[in-house]
Amino acid sequence: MIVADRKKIPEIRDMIKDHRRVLLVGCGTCVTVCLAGGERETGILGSALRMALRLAGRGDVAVDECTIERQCEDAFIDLLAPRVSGYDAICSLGCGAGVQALAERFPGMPVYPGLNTQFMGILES
Amino acid sequence: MSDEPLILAFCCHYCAYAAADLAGSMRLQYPGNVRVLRLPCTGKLEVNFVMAAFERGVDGVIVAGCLEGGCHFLEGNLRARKRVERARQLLAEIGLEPERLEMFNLSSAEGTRFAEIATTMVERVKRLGKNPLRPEPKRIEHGIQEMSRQAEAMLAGEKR
Repeated sequence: MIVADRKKIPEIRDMIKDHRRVLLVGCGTCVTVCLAGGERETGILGSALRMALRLAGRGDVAVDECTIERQCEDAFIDLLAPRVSGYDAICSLGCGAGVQALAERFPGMPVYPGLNTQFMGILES
Repeated sequence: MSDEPLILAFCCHYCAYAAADLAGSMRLQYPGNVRVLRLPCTGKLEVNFVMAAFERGVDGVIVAGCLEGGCHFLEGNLRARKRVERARQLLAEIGLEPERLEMFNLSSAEGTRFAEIATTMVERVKRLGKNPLRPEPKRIEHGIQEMSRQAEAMLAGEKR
């Protein structure tokens, strides 16, 4: 599986602060196992980003969350398509492959990486 | 909502909640700013719960679980401690003081200690100041009015 770490909140905040509506998209596969970008982590990050934006005086930026089963497969990304139209940027909590797949599927929509992809590995314990 | 700080206490059913109950039975005085929320075990606490509380403007959060080694579910309180640590790191990253969140371990017989913890946290939060994310009282009132309007509309729909 792919292992990733979350970027620091100020870094993600600065990436998205110039947009009005941002969709945080989690991934339910590898990054869920390494506790970086699953449904739970997406919820936590959404809450943290809303607070960080309000503290930085950008409370007008709306941040919503959703998680799809796999960001590196078109069949799952298609389920996201109806929702994305209401937003002007996506912040992906998937690995590098997920970010690239979203960017390819939604051309013209800025897709920001919320994680730093580290390596490919096997869970030992 | 007045200028008094609002503290949310996530209390384990088997210890801290019973201790809070005991503090009441013992007629102990502690600040009324603490709202107790009962959990079946502090192991049920999610980082999400803590973040949601701060996002909605709560000034401080207490997580009160059993003494270490005394958890009814063996290791719920140890898991909660790790989650509290993680939430504190997140608060620091966001720019809120991590001291607003603290975990305490106590037994169900420690009513006096519960009162002390509540007093300590209220004093600490007063020193730190109110949560900068706390909504304006007018906004809260507006939200309450809006909710009551929606509830009335729902009831009217049911009557028809």
